[in-house]
Amino acid sequence: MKPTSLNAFDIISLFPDFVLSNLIKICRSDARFTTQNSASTIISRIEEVASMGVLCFPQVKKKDGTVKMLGRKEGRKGKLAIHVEIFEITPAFHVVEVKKNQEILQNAGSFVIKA
Amino acid sequence: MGCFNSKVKKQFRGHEDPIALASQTAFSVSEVEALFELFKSISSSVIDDGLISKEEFQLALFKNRKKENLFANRIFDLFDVKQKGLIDFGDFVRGLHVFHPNAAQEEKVNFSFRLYDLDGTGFIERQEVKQMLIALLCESEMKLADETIESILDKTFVEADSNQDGKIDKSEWQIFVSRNPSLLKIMTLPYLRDITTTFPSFVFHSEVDEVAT
Repeated sequence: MKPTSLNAFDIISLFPDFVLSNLIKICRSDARFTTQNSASTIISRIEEVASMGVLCFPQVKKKDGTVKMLGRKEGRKGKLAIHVEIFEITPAFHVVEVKKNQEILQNAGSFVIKA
Repeated sequence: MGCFNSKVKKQFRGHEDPIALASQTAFSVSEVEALFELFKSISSSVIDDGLISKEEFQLALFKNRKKENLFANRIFDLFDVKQKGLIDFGDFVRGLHVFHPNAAQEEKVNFSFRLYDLDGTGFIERQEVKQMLIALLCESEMKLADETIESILDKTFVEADSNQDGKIDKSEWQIFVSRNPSLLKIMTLPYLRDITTTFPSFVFHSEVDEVAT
């Protein structure tokens, strides 16, 4: 799987917490972080997390640097869907973007992937 | 319209009229009112003067009023249309409007160009892009070799700088962005659509409640 490769402006806009998002102090449903792990390590870690614990994601799809997960349990507003995208800046330096949809499980805590 | 009650007028005294601001921007009147809640908390955080200073802006963004940041500086300057070193409520609403999902593409393209044109020369120079990259890497405590940065810049300028004069002018930027629409992602804050639910405290209560907030 090949993560997307980027120009300078892509990189600038990928960096976590682009300034103004902080201004609107909202409980953000997106997260972005940088990591020095390789893309394959990142993907394995995501799959590991997806298969364990309270939040169980029976459906995991991978394609071109993107991982999509759909939860099993129906929450108040439907199923939890998480979309993870990996951007390569260099082979040893990636930015990972995690988005979850607006549907939130009633008893979900926060979903965090530690790089 | 005309049924804007006197309590509200009092709240907004000294600031631009929310109805006028709503008509100039993608925000509804109630969204402008919600933005006022946000504006009030930021503009009173260091000096309670109804205006946002650079320090207050930094405090709101970084929880640290002394923290300098390239992009924060640039955004502050772009919001501060009258160049007074202070952002008033009208500036605030009109500035944020550009980031609204419903704002015109053209406005976003223009704003992003001016954002990256750090020294306001009307061109995005290679040196400026390098400066921004380095600033961001520094913030994330990541390092990239200079050659890697240079090659990223080469690649970017080959694509964006069509007349190869070492800088990106406005029309080159427009073309570059139309070919790479994801570059404008940063120019939209989808959360702005939910602003009234984020700041639900704007209700017309008695004097007592006003003091409590």
